[in-house]
Amino acid sequence: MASPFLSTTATTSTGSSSSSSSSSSSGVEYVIRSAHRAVVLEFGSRLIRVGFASEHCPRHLIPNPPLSHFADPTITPASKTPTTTTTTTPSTAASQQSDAVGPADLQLLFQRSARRSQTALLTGALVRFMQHVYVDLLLLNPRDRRVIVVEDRDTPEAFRNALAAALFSPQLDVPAVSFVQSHDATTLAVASFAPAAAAGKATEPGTARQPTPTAASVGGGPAATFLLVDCAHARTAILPIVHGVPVTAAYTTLPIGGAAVERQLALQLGKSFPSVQFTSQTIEDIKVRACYVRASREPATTNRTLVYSLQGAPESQPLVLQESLIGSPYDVLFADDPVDDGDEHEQSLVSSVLQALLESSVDDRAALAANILLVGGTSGAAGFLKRFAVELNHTVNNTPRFKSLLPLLTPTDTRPAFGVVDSVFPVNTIAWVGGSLLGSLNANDERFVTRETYQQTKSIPNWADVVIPEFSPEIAVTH
Amino acid sequence: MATKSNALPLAASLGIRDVGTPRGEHVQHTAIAYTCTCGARFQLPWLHMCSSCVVLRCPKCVAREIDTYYCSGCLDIAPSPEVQTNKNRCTKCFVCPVCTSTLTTIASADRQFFMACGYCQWNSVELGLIADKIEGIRRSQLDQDQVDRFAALSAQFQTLATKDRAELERAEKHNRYRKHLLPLTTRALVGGASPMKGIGSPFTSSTALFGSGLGLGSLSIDAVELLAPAQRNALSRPANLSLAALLKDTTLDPAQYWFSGENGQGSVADVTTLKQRYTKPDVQPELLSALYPDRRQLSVKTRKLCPQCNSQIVKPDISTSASKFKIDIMAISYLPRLSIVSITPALRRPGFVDPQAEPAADGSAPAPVDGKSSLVLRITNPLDHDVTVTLTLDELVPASSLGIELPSRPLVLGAFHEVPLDDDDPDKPRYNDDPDIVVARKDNSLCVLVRLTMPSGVDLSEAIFTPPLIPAGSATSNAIAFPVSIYLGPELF
Repeated sequence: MASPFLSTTATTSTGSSSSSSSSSSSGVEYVIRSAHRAVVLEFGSRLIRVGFASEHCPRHLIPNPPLSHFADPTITPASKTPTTTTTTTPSTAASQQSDAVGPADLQLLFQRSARRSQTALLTGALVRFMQHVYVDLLLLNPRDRRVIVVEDRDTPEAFRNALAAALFSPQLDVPAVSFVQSHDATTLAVASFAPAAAAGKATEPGTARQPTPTAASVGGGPAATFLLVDCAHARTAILPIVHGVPVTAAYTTLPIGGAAVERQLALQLGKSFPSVQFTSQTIEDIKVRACYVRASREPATTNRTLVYSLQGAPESQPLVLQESLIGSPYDVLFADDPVDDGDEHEQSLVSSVLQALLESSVDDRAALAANILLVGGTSGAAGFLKRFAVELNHTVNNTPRFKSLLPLLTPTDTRPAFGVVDSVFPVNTIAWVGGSLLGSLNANDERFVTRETYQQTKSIPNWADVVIPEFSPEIAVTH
Repeated sequence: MATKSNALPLAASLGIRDVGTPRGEHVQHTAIAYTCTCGARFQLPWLHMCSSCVVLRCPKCVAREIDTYYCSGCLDIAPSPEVQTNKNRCTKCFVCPVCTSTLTTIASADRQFFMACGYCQWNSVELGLIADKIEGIRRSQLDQDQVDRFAALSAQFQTLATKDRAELERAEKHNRYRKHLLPLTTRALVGGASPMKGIGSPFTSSTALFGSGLGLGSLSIDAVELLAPAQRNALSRPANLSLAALLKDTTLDPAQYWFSGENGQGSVADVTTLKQRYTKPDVQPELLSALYPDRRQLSVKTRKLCPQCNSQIVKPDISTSASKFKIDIMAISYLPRLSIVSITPALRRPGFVDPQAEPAADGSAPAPVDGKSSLVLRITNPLDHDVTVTLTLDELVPASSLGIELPSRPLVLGAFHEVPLDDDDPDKPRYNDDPDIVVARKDNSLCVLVRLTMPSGVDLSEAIFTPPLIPAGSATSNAIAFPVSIYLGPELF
């Protein structure tokens, strides 16, 4: 059934797409352009990923976006006069202070431009940053390629608008841009296709892993039910996704992530080595190379040590780090009250995950619990997986609130137990991979905002702005 | 004669010692900014000119285009068709995975080739990259699992997208209203007349794309654990690790291999930094011993174009070893240069008392300065012909609050000569200068006095001239105005 159906539709699709498409004025040109693989961008709170669609990994990971390097080189007299900025000084100082550990220049720049309610500052920096990306990293002219932007669900609209303004600016002038939310992109990257014959009984263990020739699995749709735990630099977000649809009611964010770990580490380093000045780069390096997530919930009993020295700097004095020091900064992620702001949060990462399970439909709970997907750079820390499992086990067993989830600890014949998805893609690029997958499809032109459309509307559509045409019964009857 | 005798005392009183030609004076005070056509303010050396539009262009508004691809290691030019297929990498050079300097290929005594870094002493022998042919050591890392899975997913989604598009079009054909009942997902993903045009979410409803009830893709856990990663089916859902297995698995505890050095002391010497991991986005190895050398990323030379007329403003030389330019139209070689020679300290604030001022004849303290000040500007002509410059005040400047007296007459700037003219007749004035305004003149530059009057109560730290002075004019063609702003902030004094 499958093959003749496909062949007939292929002809109809080409025939009617040219006639029905409203924006077919530049159709020919557009087809030629879409032959070029799109550029896929993802702006994370710590890492910017750039690369091309249809590739399994980004070409470049740009850490710690040095957007201040791309700040305006022009002469602005106001910035040189200390007196004129007195009104903004306290808040600027505050943002710089919070920025002292793990500076995310992007955020800082964004905060500043948002405070002055002008996106020109951010747009200008993004133009120069993207020029650097195109000229120095991707080595191509921006006018040739469409762009897919994988963005976080919580990306402020002002940032998205600034990015669109930058990409469509005369200096870059990209032909078309599409914004994809990172959880949707992640869904694509972790989706599984059950073979057509076994589609009805896909819940059976082992079925989905049978060798599946591409032709045979046409009938089976992709399956994607998982609990997304995105442990990034700035925050952790938890979102259940059922059959590819995010359960927004259960969406939770926690202000803990890599930055919180670095803050914790900086505090402890300050206590242990009061005479040493640590830069934020050193603190990050210590976090990445020396620290790990302790497997047990209890502090270390042994007192082993680790010699830390900056790579390529043999002359520098090595630090001897105690086991208690390098094992504890990550505890902040699993602490019962990670946000020590006086509020009665009582929400740790794991209890938020369980809470999200409780908030999603009871029918999906087992599937979600069995498919917890840990993404985000911080979840790639050594030992994170083990500790997550330990904490999950402990919290389910010892918290009255989660009593109803106790049965999920033991699998039965019909229902799986708690489990973690082991994706082949790295935790910090999986959303980018989804964007790349989306760009590899050649049928999704509709998802792009073209240069011409943007020139007219000067805005990027947002889901909140969309007017879905009402279903009119009258017209339906007359027809 | 009179001109000269009047000018010199004034110059001396203003503290001007050298009024010679400022040859090679390219660095200007940041207080002086030229306004580009796009409105951005830059120092003069930053600016370019478009020769056909005859307007200023700055780094912000020029368009950049790639001119040539080359390798910064071997300085070879890479032909552009090959660049994309080689993933922007040089076909010859490899970089050290540890320190990113260029690797050299070395033949050992027994004719075995390997790569070594001359900077950090890394070599490829430990990785097993040693062979009796040079080609044998040029291997790269690839995560085949990821490639397979990506290809399988892409093929599946493509099939699905084609099918969905067909279904949508059939629906549109038969009943154009029924399409609203179709899930938005399909249309958002594959196109069609969708109200969600341009919106990010590919899935707003799932039933069409995700077969109903098929969500539990793979839940068997134990079987997958037995499979080696390479044996995983690329299409099926990524393997699951059950909680029970994770709790049991003691190899997941990092503490046991963290302190595996001598005397139970750990070391980070063999752990990669983030920067090193990020050079391999798909593998991101944590140990230095797993780092493979990469081919060197190519570099590009870019040309800069006028965004209006697409004419070239900067074009690099094609030779990769040369840092010359074939075309480089810089504004500094066409526009009169302005620089501040001196400002009398009275400008500090109204009522300022000059500590170096002589006490009054009756022994009382020197009188406060009444806010009057003078600014000496040097204007230099880079062209090889005389140029007439008229300084005008921008109408945006609050001239009422800041009394600025500009020279009312046009000023003639002498031509620039490579070899200074041997002017052996100093008594013959070539220019009819007003000695009250033109403080000094030599060759192609002159110093102009601008009088400023500050009414008391104006805080000079806030006094920014935006843009007060517009030197305009050209000796031959029509006058062109180039707005220049001078910032009189506190740090200038």
